[in-house]
Amino acid sequence: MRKWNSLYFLFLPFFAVYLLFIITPIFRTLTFESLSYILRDSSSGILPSLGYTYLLALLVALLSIGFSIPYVYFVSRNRHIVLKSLDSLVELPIMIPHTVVGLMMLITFEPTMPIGRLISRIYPGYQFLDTFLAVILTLFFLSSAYSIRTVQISYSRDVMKYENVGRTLGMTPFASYFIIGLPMMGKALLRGLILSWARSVSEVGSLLIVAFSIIPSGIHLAGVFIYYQFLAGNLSYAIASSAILIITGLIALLLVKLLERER
Amino acid sequence: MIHIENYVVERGGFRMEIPDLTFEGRKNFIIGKNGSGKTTLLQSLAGLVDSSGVFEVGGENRGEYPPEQRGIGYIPQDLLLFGKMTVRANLMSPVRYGKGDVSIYSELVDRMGLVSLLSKKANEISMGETQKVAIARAIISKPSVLLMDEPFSFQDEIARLGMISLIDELSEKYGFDYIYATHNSRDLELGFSNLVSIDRGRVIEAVDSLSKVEHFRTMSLLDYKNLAIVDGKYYFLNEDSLKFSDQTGDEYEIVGNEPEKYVRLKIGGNYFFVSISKETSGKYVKLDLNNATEIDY
Repeated sequence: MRKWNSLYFLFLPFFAVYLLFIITPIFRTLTFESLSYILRDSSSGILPSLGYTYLLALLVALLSIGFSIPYVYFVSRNRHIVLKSLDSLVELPIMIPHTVVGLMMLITFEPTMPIGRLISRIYPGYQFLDTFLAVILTLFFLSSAYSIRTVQISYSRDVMKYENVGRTLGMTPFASYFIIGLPMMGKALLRGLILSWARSVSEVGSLLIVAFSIIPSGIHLAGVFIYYQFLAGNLSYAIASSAILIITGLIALLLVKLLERER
Repeated sequence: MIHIENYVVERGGFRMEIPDLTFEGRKNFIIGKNGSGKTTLLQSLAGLVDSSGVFEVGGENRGEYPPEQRGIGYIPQDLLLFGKMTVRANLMSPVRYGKGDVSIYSELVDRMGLVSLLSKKANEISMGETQKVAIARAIISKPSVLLMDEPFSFQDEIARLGMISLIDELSEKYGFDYIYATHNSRDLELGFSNLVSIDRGRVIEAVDSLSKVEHFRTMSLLDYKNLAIVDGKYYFLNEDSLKFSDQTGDEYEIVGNEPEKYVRLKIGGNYFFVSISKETSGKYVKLDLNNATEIDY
């Protein structure tokens, strides 16, 4: 029979308090309004906003994963101190306040700014503010670190040594990477995809600055949409929309977890 | 013949330097403590860690080639079969993607009894089977040198020495030399061509017989008995190095079971063991260093 030690009982309250702390606000949000009210709010525009948000977040997450694969190979195979120092910049976007990130993107990519002006010279008619491109670049800036670090840990800790053995068996770097390495990274890629996707879905601050509504449809991304409802003084609608976001988000995460288990 | 000269490997804060080292003969062993540099040396010879200097096999400088062109097989401690592939795909990978030999594949599958495993996933077979497949896969790649980094260290003595015997046999048949890293002296009991002792990235000594071992660091890896450190000097002791008396000396204890008994004495806070065959007389023991051999560290 399993016997629990005293440390287990000492730490149990911490576990319980933490879980309660996470679950209580979620429970409050889901039960703040009645189901019929939530269903009524679903016609407020939150559903198309959520659909758009999830799809854009997926696009950004795929882009992040796409970049993380070559990035991680390059960084993990090189031990130069300068490169290692540069690599630590990956986490920087996580610590910068998100409104600041919005401002940073604005002064970098707006057509009136030097880099933006250069882009608009190459692509006449180039616009940044309130565009699809602004959303993609800003969310990529904010969320790519999550997929890069997830893939990097898996690659340098678990995968590289298998590739190395492949090389001693006569495989070229190309063959050992694509035949041995990449198939082993499936779970890490999926995990990185989820984290980047989730991070993008939750973004508000920077979008308020670069893409309050996306032209030409004028659609707001979910976080902005709910914030807009709140600013308009309708707390009940904002909460109902939040409940829909939480429920759909949980379903999406559950589906991915099931997929992960299937693998 | 494997020859290493002016060989330097730097990895993190660790630096390995080997001015000159030659392995003549097929069966070569490297012995050293954990962290002595065994893995770094083997991985660098396999081309997986950057190195400078000369690494020749049969007069050809293999150190200049990338791992896939060196003709150096490498079996790491955790064996690293490609888990999602079948055993067949693992064994055939050197043939499909390298310069492996399909006739060696066929021979080894028969000879090592691997037929029943071929269609299984590599992560579904037992540890003993995994070891055999790892050996076979490396040999199918037709290496001229096979490097092994304690791949059987988690096995019992029979299984481990059985595997080393198998490699002995296969190295003769397929004509490759091997270097086997170990920290277990029992691995040497089946004989060797060269034994290289390393510590902190330096070669302490290279011998072709255990009777030629001269350094305390090597001896202490091979056996725990009849060695002592006194006042910072290193000694090889024998029964005559112990003087028993009832008046002066240090306390001691007899440990072990008949017929192998040892005097356990404490010097400078550390325990040392000296073999004895006769009965001891007296409560105390003193070391007579005139009857001991001072050895290099």
